[in-house]
Amino acid sequence: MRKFKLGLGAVRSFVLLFSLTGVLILTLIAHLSEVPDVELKHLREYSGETVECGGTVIGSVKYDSGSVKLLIHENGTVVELYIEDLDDSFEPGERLSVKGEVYTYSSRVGVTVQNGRYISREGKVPVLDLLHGSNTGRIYNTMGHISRVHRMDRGDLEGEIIFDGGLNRSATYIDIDASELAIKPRTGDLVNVTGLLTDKKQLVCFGPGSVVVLQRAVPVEYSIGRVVDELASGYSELITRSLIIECYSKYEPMGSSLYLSDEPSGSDISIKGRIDRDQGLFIHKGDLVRIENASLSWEPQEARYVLEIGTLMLIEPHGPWSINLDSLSWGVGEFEEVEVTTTGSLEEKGGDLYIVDEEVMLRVVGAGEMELGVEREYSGVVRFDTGRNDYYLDTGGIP
Amino acid sequence: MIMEVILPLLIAALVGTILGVVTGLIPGLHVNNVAIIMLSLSPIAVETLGGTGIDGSTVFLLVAGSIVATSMTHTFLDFIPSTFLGAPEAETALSVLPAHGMLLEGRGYSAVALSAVGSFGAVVVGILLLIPYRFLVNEPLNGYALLKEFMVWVLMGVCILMLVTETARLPYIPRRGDEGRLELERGPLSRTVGVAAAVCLFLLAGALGLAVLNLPVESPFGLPATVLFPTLSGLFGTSTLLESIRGGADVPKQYLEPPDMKTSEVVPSVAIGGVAGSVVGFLPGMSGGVATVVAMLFRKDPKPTSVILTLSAINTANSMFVLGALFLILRPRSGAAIVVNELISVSEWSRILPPSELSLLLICALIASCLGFFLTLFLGARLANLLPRVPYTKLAAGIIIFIAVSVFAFTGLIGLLVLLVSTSIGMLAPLIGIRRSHAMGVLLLPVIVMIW
Repeated sequence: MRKFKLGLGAVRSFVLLFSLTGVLILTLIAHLSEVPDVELKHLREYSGETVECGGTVIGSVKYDSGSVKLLIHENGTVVELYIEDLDDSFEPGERLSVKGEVYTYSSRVGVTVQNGRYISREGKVPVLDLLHGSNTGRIYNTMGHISRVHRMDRGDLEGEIIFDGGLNRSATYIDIDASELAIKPRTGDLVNVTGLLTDKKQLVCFGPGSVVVLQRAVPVEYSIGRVVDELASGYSELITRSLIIECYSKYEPMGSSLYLSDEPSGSDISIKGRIDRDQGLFIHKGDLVRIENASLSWEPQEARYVLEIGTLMLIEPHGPWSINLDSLSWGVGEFEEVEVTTTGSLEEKGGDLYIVDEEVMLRVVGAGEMELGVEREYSGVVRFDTGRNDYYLDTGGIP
Repeated sequence: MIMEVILPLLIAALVGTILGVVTGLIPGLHVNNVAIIMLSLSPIAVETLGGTGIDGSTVFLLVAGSIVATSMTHTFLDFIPSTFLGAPEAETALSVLPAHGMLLEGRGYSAVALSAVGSFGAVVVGILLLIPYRFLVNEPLNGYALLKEFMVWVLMGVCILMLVTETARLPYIPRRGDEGRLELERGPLSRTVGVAAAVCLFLLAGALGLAVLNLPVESPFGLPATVLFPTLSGLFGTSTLLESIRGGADVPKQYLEPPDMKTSEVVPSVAIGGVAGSVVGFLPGMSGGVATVVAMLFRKDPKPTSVILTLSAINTANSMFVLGALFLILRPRSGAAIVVNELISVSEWSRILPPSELSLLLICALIASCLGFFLTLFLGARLANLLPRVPYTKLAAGIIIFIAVSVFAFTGLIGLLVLLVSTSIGMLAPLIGIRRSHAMGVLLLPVIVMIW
């Protein structure tokens, strides 16, 4: 039997051909097994799958464990990247392409990336420094004053502040993750912010360096009259100041609105204030209050400035209001829970006692011994009787 | 003191050494796999040792010490399968060639002993370098930042040097032979053809590396899969074994003689290896294999004994300085270092003396190195005695089957395909007549592409 033996040349040719073919096949397999390249707006559809995606860095946070969270955006969609282990750091404006697993929870969408090997840098977009409303979808690094802080002071981790970066008078909302900021911004602070301007004119900021307080606002004590005067004279710097004012509640607060003046009543000079609904519950017409961390913001619908009130404190409740039942066009409703004095004669009707002034009547309760038909002054607190759906004067034994 | 620190530390080092023996002797089982398992078991260790009065943070430090010991012992023991079975890992890939040659000369044990000396020498060099590196890497010299900045150029320079120093003179002029067959003979451009062939092998191996690093390998048995196992086993292991079978080689009687070493040979080999391995320990994406290529460029016509000493030193120094890098630049440069970083609170080494955690981990590394040295000699001698009793062709075939089965177990069918292709590429070098080290392009080219 003849022994089959391959020559060196044949072995060499076979091995070379097999090597080349093998590398090509492996490259093809690697290519075919590549993960889908997904736009950020479609990421949610790939939850749990490994994908490739890319975007521009808005900001980053590095944790002690070595992991890093980045916020990236692409065409108005913002997602977070959680990188389990990263030596490197990324700056706002850098364009990245990453490979990782998509996760979703509540409204958030993110991608878990194992380490820096699965991230490739694809250049850097220029970071703009002049905030311009029409140039949305861009990263800005700009400076301006905080004109209002909303929700931040109540210890919320996420919040928003309103930032006047020169967009005429239409303020820019900054959507930030306050837990990652070194210093909480306050109204009137001069800040440097870095973030993405969305088409809702919202500057999305993320990470410790995204909002840097350059100068803390010095609160200024003002009066309502002076505020109104300076606004009328176009003293624009006032709108960036943190104000402290002692003033009176001109009317009963309605929801989140109250009107403030320098005198308890009678003054025509007043300004609208806005508070958290809860803060207004204990304030009544005529009360002397102290407002702090207040700032002026432009209300385009009403074409006027409104005082955004951070802290509202009651200094002194108002004494009894002298009211004339006959002249109250809206009844006593606006004096609910307020101490008043009024004049009239006492009449009995259907077993109840009423103070009557001309033809207007107000039920009176707890009056003690009173003489019917005699005109005199009565004092008490106006209350609402939910059972009978009407107001009454609770004299509490005051004769 | 003895009960609180020294005894637990000794036990941790001992446990790590035993695990290092296991990972070192079984091709395909990496330290990283064991490190991850130890991380997941560490809460149980805290609970178990809590009763002995050892607090949680100390237990985590002991587990980290075990991982360091595993890592160090592994670098001693993994030379045994490289020598006797031809199944290398990234760090030992190039050492297969001289060690295999010594095995076929009956000096397999000497190769293993040289490797143990090289590794232990690297530990000594490492200790001597540790404090100078503190000042070189960090303040005031800040060498790390500089090296990182120019890394891609350094690597490209290394590749070019490796390729142009190919000394093979290949025939390229066709002529008719005695039997009328077309043959090739050497000419004035033979050396250039040799370099061109080296470039082609480098690029082919690089293309293989780029392809396999993106392959979705998965173990059919749920084992931790790494695509480098079939790739390097094929390029430097099975290809060598196949070449031996084709050449009809047989394993002669192995002599348990101590290696013939001269101080003038050992000291520079270990020093070059120690420095190369330590530098690579600080760099991202670099393995001992890359350091090997660099180190060998400094050796002119090295003897196999010098090569083994140098490569073993690189391997061990790299493992030791990955730990140093963790405390100096606060960057984990290996899977084991990542796990250590998870277990303990790593504080930057900013003063002259190392932080206490690093000192304790280094003690574990030292204990493991001493034990690893003697275990390598002991187990190397046992295998050297055993091997000649087995017919080499059958043994080599058996080892190839063992590697193929391991590759399938760890990386599945795609891994087997990778093994076939990389074996084929690995065979090209001896068939053409050039150095097989050009196949290190499998790691170098992807690394250059990655950091470009």
